[in-house]
Amino acid sequence: MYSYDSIDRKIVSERIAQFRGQVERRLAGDLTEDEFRPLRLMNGLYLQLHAYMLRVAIPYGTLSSKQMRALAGISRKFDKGYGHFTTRQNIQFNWPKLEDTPDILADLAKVDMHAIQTSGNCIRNITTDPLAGVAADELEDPRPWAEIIRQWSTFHPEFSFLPRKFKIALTGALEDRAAIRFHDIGLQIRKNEEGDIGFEVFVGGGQGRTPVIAKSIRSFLPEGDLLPYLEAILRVYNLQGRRDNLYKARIKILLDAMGPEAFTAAVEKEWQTTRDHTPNLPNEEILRIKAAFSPPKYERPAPSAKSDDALRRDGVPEGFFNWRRWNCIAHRERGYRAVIISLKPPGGIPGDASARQMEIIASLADSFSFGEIRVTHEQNLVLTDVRELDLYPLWKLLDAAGLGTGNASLATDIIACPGLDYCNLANARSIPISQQISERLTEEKLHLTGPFSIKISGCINACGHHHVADIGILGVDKKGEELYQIMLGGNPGNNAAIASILGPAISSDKVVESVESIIDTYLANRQTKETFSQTLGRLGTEIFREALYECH
Amino acid sequence: MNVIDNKGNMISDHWLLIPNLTPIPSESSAIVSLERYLSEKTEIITKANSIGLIVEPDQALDDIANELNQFGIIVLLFPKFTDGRAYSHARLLRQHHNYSGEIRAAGNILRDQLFFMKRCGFDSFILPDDKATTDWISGFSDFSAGYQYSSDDLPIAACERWNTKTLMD
Amino acid sequence: MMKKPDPDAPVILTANRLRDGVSVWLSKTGGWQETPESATTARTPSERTELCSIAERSVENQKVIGPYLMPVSGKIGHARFVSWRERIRAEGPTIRLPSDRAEIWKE
Repeated sequence: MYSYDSIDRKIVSERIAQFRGQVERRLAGDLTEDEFRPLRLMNGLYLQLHAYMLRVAIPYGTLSSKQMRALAGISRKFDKGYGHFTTRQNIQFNWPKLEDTPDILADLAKVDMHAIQTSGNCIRNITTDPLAGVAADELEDPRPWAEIIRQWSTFHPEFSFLPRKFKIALTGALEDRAAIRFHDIGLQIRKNEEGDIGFEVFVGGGQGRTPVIAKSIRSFLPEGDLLPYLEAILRVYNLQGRRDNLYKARIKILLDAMGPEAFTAAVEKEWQTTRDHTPNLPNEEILRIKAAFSPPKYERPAPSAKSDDALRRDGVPEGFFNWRRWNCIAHRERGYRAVIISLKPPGGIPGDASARQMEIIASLADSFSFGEIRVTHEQNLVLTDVRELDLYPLWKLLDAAGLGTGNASLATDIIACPGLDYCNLANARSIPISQQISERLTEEKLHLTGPFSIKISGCINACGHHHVADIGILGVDKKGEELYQIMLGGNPGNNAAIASILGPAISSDKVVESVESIIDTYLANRQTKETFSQTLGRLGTEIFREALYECH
Repeated sequence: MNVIDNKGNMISDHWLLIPNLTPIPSESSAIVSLERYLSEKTEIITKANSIGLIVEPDQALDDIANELNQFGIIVLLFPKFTDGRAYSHARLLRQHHNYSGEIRAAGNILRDQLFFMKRCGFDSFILPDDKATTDWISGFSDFSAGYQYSSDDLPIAACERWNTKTLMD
Repeated sequence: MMKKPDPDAPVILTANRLRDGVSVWLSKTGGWQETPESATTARTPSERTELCSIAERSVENQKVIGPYLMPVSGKIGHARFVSWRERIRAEGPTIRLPSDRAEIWKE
């Protein structure tokens, strides 16, 4: 992974000094809250329901074991001994004190981490495929470009006070695991006929109260033109995006108002005039960054794992085989797997890990996976380079720490926002709903159903991605009562789709059985190998609507 | 009204901000609104010794691109410190229009923004009246390097790393 | 963010403490306390105005941020809260927080 040099370190340490000064000025009354709020948000510091919340950046979701240990340490020293991994591949601490935050940042800086631009109306953390560099279906590793965009977007002098937040995701694989069509800019690495690397550029995707699938505005952008082209998009947005209405300020609204053709023409024109002034990086610099992501020293050939029969003879429990089936992903290197560590045990809080769990994961990364950990947008973690031989010993240690749940991509691998248990904007709770669902669905039913996504948001801001789930659940408030809208048929990936609402919202005590009856209806009606969205496409929503409202 | 340059020095200023309905004093250094300049161009050019423009963030400068270099100063207005359009205007003035006169920031600005403004090509800043401004100078040096190409002389990370003068080498 | 409370409902004043962000309520004795039990209740327009001016002063003195009047039912216990939001804000998350407590570790 990329290591900071002295320049990167200096910028981060200067940031701490700057923020320490801002906090002092705030506490002394030299800054009003209205002035301070945008400054603290640009450093990831929110005010939530019970306390401040600090969101720490994990650029493109990549962490070293050392960094993971530091996060555990910070959670003990300054918080309540746990952290929450987010859908933007970051981590949040829920209980920091304002006056401690400069010291937290100082501890983060010791391991080359920070909270820069994890909130605010600026370019946010860049996200990518959690399997980048190891996925069997990858055309080109997106991480060097994610790092290049990270550096370019950090304290960008022109784009730090945008109309609204701005999110960029990219992928280099055939299967989109980074939801690029639901970002302000989505980049898909492509190869042209000459074999040159470039990007297909998608703009204007997003979730929130107005879910939109991004439009492709350029089918191939040569890689050397990436930064000038991003500048051109951002400049058009910065100048023309709406600033009069918070809810109409995202680039998706601008693109829709201008029309994709006019928007694209404006970007292309800006790019043609800007590219001379906004050069890409020197080639040596691009090569330096690419070199930071060269593959680890794989064992060749990797020792082969015992056969399943032999493992069973040794008394290896079925839990391991289930886990291996769902959580161990094909790797481009023979004899290796990428291992998803589920942060979704039955009854657990999606994305949460205790300090001790973080430390255990760090040690396991050191022992089994070259000391690197990835965060997924589904709020799980990944060890990217595990020998097949090591899967069983690894699982035993994970399982002992409550981290061995074999449910990656299954119906209990639920994305949930913090909801009303933490969030100032929420209308309803998300976590308890997720806990009830994951306790209710039996392993047998999970395995029978196969890949199935349930995503829960506590308000229309859609942090829980409810628009892009097989079953999306949206919490609403009706006269102080928590109600939930059920929607079906969303998809964050290549076949991007926005879920549609089934009908009136239902009460919280009906959600679990409703979800189960929708799953049962799918199981009863699907044809061989049909995914949920295929069954839904073939049968329409009526049969599921009936199943839902029969429960009431 | 206190004005500082982009090193933090106080500027004693000869520019006068002329409100829209106030007559242009003869032989003055007059800063006028873009609308007024467009409607009273001949008279303003005759009367004033030197002309400056004050530009709102929603005004485009493309229409008068050819005339820009006759303005000794262009004042870009920040109605709210969270309104970032003027950063792009400053960049466009420097990059697209090769504007070489003074660019000044006015309105609701914070010292925490001086660093960004300087990098986008601003040379001077009208300090808000209600703020103690002695500490403002430090705002220019919040960071000793940046990652992006810019209009100031701040070291650029990639250039430092490869010992090149500009990213274009 | 918060809907305006019903003008006839009794209200108490709440905010977050600037230094640490903790939710606080204005008590009968005039201080900011971490629980709403002893909060002072305003029942008339003039009592509300008084609370608002205290809120303003506390903001100016850098004591609290985001103050607002929170309607209460007049009952006691959980029933005092007229919304889930206010109840959770006062009583904490409704879920068991993750922890390193020994019994969850099998090793």
